[in-house]
Amino acid sequence: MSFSQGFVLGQHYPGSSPVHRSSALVKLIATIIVMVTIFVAVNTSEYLPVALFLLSGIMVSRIPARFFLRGIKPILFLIVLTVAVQILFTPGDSIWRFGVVRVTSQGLVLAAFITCRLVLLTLASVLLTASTSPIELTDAISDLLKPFRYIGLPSAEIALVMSIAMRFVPTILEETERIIRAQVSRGARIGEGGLVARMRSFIPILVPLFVSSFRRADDLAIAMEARGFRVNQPRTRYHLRGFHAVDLVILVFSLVTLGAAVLLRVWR
Amino acid sequence: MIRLDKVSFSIETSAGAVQVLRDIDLQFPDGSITAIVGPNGSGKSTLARLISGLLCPSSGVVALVDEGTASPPGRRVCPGVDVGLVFQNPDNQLVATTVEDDIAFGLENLSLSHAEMVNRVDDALDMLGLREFRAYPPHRLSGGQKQKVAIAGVLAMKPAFLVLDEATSLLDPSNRQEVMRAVFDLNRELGIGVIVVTHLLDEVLGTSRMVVLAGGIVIASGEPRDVFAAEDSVRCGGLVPPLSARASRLMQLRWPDFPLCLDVDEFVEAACLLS
Ligand SMILES: Nc1ncnc2c1ncn2[C@@H]1O[C@H](COP(=O)(O)OP(=O)(O)OP(=O)(O)O)[C@@H](O)[C@H]1O
Ligand SMILES: [Mg+2]
Repeated sequence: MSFSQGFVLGQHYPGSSPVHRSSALVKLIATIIVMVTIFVAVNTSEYLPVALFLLSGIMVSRIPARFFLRGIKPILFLIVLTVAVQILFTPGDSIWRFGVVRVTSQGLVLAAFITCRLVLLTLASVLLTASTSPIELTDAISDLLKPFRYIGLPSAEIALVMSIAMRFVPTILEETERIIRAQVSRGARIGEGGLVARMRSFIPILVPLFVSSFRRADDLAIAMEARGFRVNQPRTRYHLRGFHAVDLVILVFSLVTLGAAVLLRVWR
Repeated sequence: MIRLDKVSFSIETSAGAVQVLRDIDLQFPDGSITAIVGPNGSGKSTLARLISGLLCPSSGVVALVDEGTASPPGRRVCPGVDVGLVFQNPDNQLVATTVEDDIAFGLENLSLSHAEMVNRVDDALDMLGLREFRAYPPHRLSGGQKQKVAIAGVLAMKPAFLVLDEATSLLDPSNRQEVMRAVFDLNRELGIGVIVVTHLLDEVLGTSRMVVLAGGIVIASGEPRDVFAAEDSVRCGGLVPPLSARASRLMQLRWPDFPLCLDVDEFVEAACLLS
């Protein structure tokens, strides 16, 4: 468990708010629109509509702010690093200097811009994964990929593979810990010594892990067949939902966000 | 009824063909409970997969036939629909990220309508007492609960038979009893035929018929009492008779007409009659 804890990105935060209840496909599309908006922006001011959109989404979702802050924590280092680089190495009008260190106003502007970009990207993805259960998300991805079926992309199978992978992450993590404990109790030194020694110490963990994973895969294939699964056979879906007003609202708002960002660019 | 006629099964290996099962003739009437026992490598799991329609016999026929008709124009067993198979490690049988999605997995394969799926998932959850766990991810369940989810997933497909291949062997005694009780209840209430592959005596004694497999052939079958009475099959099948049966044998040295008792209650009763 210790591996998986504290990592918020990708974690589901169950709830019953309109954001939770809206269609995963719509949320996925809206997230993509918002991310495109974030990526095409060139001025911090263009982030204003995106920030408004995400903040209202967060408020409506009733997921505590703490959850989002924890989501930002892992990228804090990245933010600090890029901010430092931007501030120190952007040429321009210096507003403060100390020896060779020189802070320019252009540097500050750029640092603010990049910080906003990273934070907004994180908020958007945390909001999506927190308000959508993994199974809904994989179904949505499969729906999104459906048009590519005509060029031979097995979208339903991809979704199934993703959900099985998600199902087995905790099981495999538990297994890894068990193997580490077993090897340590036999005197294995894991993560000690130089780089080569450290790499080598992972072999006694990886080999049993692979062996057991292959056995699992074998069993799983039989279990799936035993429950009537066949590749290329049509399947229906347990999770079913139509298109509701919330979905329309989310879609319209995400497009408005994109439009507003474009307008802000044009006006300047 | 599932009928096996002269069923043999062999696998091609690099060292040539290995005969795993030979000339198996067995019948499993609807609603019956049968135990399959035998030493490791005797072919029990292979037999379980043949019965479930997951393997095709190299020769012979595995078929579903109507109980009334004498000679079988039977049809092939369809995995999941006719026979549900649950095996040892529950961790390797659950596919989905939540309990209810896992139960729905087989139903999705049947291409059922949404309403029908919801009904069947609810029923399966209720039958195994899993309602409160419906939204749980599998890794937050105990071993016994996981195995019940695996059974519920199979059950939702409404098979005529349930095959449990050492399905309780990784569970502790109380979880094991709970799972077996649930299975026997299903047999009583829904008339589902049950086939348990097991090494455990109490599971054998709960059944009305046992089949002893050794080296790929059936060496004995019948009521547990008769099978344990025949010492040869007990020895070849690597069976350890229940303690009461062994005690009965010792009693028979002194009192030749002492009955063969399979559990303690019976033994005590017989012993009281002596005095
Ligand atoms: N894929 C395979 N390749 C080679 N041999 C196999 C294969 N599957 C089964 N066998 C052989 O078939 C025989 C029966 O195997 P099976 O798994 O049916 O036994 P079992 O009675 O279930 O044993 P256990 O009590 O250990 O579960 C064994 O001798 C085994 O070595
Ligand atoms: Mg076996």
